Amino acid sequence: MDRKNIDRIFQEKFKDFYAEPPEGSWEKIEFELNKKEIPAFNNAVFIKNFSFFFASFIFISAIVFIYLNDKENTELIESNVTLESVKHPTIDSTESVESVKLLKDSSHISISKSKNSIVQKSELINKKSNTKNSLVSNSNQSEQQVSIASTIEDSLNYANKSKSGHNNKTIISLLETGFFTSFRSLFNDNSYDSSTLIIDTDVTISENIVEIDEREKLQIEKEDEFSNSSESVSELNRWQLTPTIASVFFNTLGNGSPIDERFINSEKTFSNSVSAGVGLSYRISDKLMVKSGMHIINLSYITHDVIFFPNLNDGGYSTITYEKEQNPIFIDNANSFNHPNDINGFGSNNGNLEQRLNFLEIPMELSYYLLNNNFGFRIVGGFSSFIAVNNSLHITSENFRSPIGIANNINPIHFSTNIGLGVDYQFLKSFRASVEPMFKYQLNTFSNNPGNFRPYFIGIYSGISYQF
Amino acid sequence: MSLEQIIKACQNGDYSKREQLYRIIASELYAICLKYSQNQENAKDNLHDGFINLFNKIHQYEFKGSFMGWAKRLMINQCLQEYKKTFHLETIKDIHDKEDDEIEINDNLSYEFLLSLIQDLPNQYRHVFNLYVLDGYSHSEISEFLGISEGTSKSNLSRARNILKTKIETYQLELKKKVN
Repeated sequence: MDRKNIDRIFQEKFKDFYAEPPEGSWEKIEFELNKKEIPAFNNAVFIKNFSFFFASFIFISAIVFIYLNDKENTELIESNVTLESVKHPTIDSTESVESVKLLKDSSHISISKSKNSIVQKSELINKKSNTKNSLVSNSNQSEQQVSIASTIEDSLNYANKSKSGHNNKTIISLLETGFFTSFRSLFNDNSYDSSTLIIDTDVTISENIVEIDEREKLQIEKEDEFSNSSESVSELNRWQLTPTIASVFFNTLGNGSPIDERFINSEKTFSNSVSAGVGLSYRISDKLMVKSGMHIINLSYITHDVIFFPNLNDGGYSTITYEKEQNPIFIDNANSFNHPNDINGFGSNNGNLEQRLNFLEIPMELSYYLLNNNFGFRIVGGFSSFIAVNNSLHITSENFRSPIGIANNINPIHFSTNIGLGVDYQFLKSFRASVEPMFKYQLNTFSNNPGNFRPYFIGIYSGISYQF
Repeated sequence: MSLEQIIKACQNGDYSKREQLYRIIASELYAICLKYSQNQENAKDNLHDGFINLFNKIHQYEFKGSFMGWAKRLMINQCLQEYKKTFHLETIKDIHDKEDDEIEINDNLSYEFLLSLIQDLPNQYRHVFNLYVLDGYSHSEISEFLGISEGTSKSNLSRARNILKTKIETYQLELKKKVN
């Protein structure tokens, strides 16, 4: 017997160790491999894959549809200007030429969209100069006919000047990424006219500042101010149309009654209601938005502890215009001791006096954005005009309801002061959801307000805005 | 046709060359399966799954290093799949390796007997023993393979050796008694 290391024993025995695989092993392997190459139709997998692709198709189609609709208002028409005649030696090769709406006369605009070129501020001047020089040398325009604009305002100013007689003026605008959309929507306003306008988009201005000419420095600072007011401004569609619905909680400050001083101390219940309408907003800047619109609002409240009975004496309420065809009904505070006797013997009834008021509200509000991203948070202030549409007075009791007439002391137009908050959320490119809790204190609702009734309401306005 | 040409044909989708490749390498790979599996049934399953995996991944072989080495590694990985899925307690104490781990043996110890001894080892000891002693991997590589520490790898190896040594000695003692 030999002495060997345990490892060595096994190593020697298993050196060049081979073992014949079992019979039929290859056939099983081959079968499995072939099965994998021709997958069987699997219902569950098919349904799962089909559902995924179908849902993706619907989603993508919806996005594309909305995107194309957004573009519709630009009315793109093929421009007859090619960029071949204009060389931009410092600008990256153009990817595509976008066409924009043909403006008045023979004006046309060419857009070159360069590939995300990052331009240092110090290079910006050179870029503009080179563009101008190349344009001058490659076209039949003189230097005076070519202007460089760095902001949307400048571009529009130059365009306006060209309208007043400076024809064939070429304006070179170098706009930062994202500015183009709002620039284009502004330019679609027909009050602007322009000659050839070359706009270089997708330019990002980097932070490095090198010594530059004072005048140019001011120009760049203006651009900074414009761009610092958030790139989102340049991408904003300034108009917003908002169908709105609101829950309205009506009440009054203090006690009082617009009907008569007899009801000053009567208990009152104010009804909650719904207001509906449409709002139109305009985004002045990144921080400010002005809003108007039109809403229908119904308010009502009930004065409790009222007695009533048929009587020739209706109580003498100067604020009520009685129904002509209605027999007079005497109405009074149930707690009053001065009402006449029920001489006709009909019996007095306890009930309530219900007043309904119907207005058309035209708000004029200013919003100031404290937060302006996909989530927006703003404070809102302003006023509303209320046009009286309708009102009614009814006597009601448990099984009885009868119209009395209408209040004649409601001003045809009255106003409110409004204050509130707004919360927005941009969930799609052109759609924004908003909720606005607003406090609206009514002013001069009633011309004759013996009871010093001071109504107000709180409305929770919500809607989805379409931006354009 | 050379092995290289057969491999390239398989990579290019010539499925008719697969069987040819199988016939060339199956014996060696089945031997690996037998060493790493608990029994023959297990070894057959590992061979089957291992070859499916090999043909599915054959395009990943870039002709750097030997194909057999690549295929063996793939097969060892296949055999260790089940083991890797389960959680294993790490040993707290390391057992020192005895450098002089020699025993007296007869030359008539068959490989079938030794194979059965390996297959009878607990999984963690068997794998470490195979990887270190029979396939030449270091403890560092084994720890990566099996997801254990190097210390555990060494401990397991030491325990495997002890068990094998004991079993061989016992077997030989019984053999001697029978002869006598």
